[in-house]
Amino acid sequence: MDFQVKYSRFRSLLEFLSIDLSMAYRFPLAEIYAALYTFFLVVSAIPQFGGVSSLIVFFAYLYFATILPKFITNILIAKNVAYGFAGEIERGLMQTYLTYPIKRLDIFVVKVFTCILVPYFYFIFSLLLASYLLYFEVFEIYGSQVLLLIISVAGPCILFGAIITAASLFIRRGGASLGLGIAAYFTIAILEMAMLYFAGATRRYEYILALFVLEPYLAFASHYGSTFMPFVHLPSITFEEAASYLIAHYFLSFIVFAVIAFYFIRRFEPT
Amino acid sequence: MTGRLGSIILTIGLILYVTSMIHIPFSHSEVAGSGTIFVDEAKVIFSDVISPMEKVSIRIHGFGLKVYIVTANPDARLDPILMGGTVNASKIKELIMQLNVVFEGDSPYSGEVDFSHNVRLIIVISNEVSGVATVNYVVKVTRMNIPIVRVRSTSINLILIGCVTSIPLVALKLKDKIYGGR
Repeated sequence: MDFQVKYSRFRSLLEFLSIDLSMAYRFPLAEIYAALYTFFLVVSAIPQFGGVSSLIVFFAYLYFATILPKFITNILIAKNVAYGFAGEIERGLMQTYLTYPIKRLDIFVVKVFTCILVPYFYFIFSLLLASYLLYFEVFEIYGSQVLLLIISVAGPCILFGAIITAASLFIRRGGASLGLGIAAYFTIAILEMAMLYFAGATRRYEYILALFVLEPYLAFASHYGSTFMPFVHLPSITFEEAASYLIAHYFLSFIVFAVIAFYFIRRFEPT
Repeated sequence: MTGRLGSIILTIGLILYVTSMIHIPFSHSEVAGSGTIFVDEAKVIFSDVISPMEKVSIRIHGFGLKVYIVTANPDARLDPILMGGTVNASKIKELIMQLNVVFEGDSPYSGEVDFSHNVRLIIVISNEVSGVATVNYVVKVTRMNIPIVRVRSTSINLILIGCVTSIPLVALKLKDKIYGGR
């Protein structure tokens, strides 16, 4: 009898994914993250006040309640990428992974999934759950728009992850990458604030375009009327335009990932 | 990774349940009144749309009166006598029985109600037995930060699903404990 196990690319990818996930999210870690996300998003509920549209209240909720969870997501991504990519290169683990009978692209995909997409989905699902629980009427009436808004709020986390991944592959040291990640987070936040100011003050197309591509949520805010942000005066745009900024944002993230993947597959040497 | 998804769902359920206990009251509005109700007379003391974010506490003092707490669809077209005021007891009882009766009992009454969806809440006091009865009542509507009923019912569902789906994780841990990982 011949008991040969046929090589399957998908099976080896799953095997590697299982190893990587159990290493990155040891027993209570995944549960603690889930608890933190749920807690912060549910307790930050903004009550409905008379005379204010429920969609505007939901907007305000998305803007203010996601500040802390967004920060947690970005720090989690920075930590995962720093130790998942740079840390493993530093300790020589990446060299071992590259000797496995698994394609470099699969290693890259699994790493991106574990380090960036898992925290991203944590954020998305917890926001969906909180929106369903706290703003059921808005969820019921504007379901697809709510989903787009949530995706637009979480979008910058992916772009941030892509930038940190690129930096980690060049720095190749865990601690330094984490430090750089935290510094990059604050730099991006300051840059966005500056652009928000310039876009509001000068109304120049280039600033507004850059701002909306970097922070697509603001594009939707400017479509629906950003009455909850009285200090910002952005031009009114159509829903299709706002959606196109969202697509442009994700496309930009995809391009950055594609360049990193190309470098990882063709040029990257772990030694 | 066996059972990890279950333990995550269980954690979310538990956190939601705990969160539903730390509700913050944001604002109050109160309807209070007193008076006499003659036999075969009824009084609609409250008729308003209540959202899941609101909790209603009701206190009715006075003896020998019937208390009806009824809910209706907020968009439904109701008989004008269900909107408030003093009306005929048998006529209003007929109308009430066509709606969803949450509570039917004798005064004095004290209690709290909250809902998972928008409803029109109607509270009726009716004198069906004695000649003249005096009554005073307070209906207090408190606006909360979270819809307690919905959060609590979702949390219980998540806890149940989490318990079932995390069985493999518990079994694995027990197996390791009993057989020492062999």
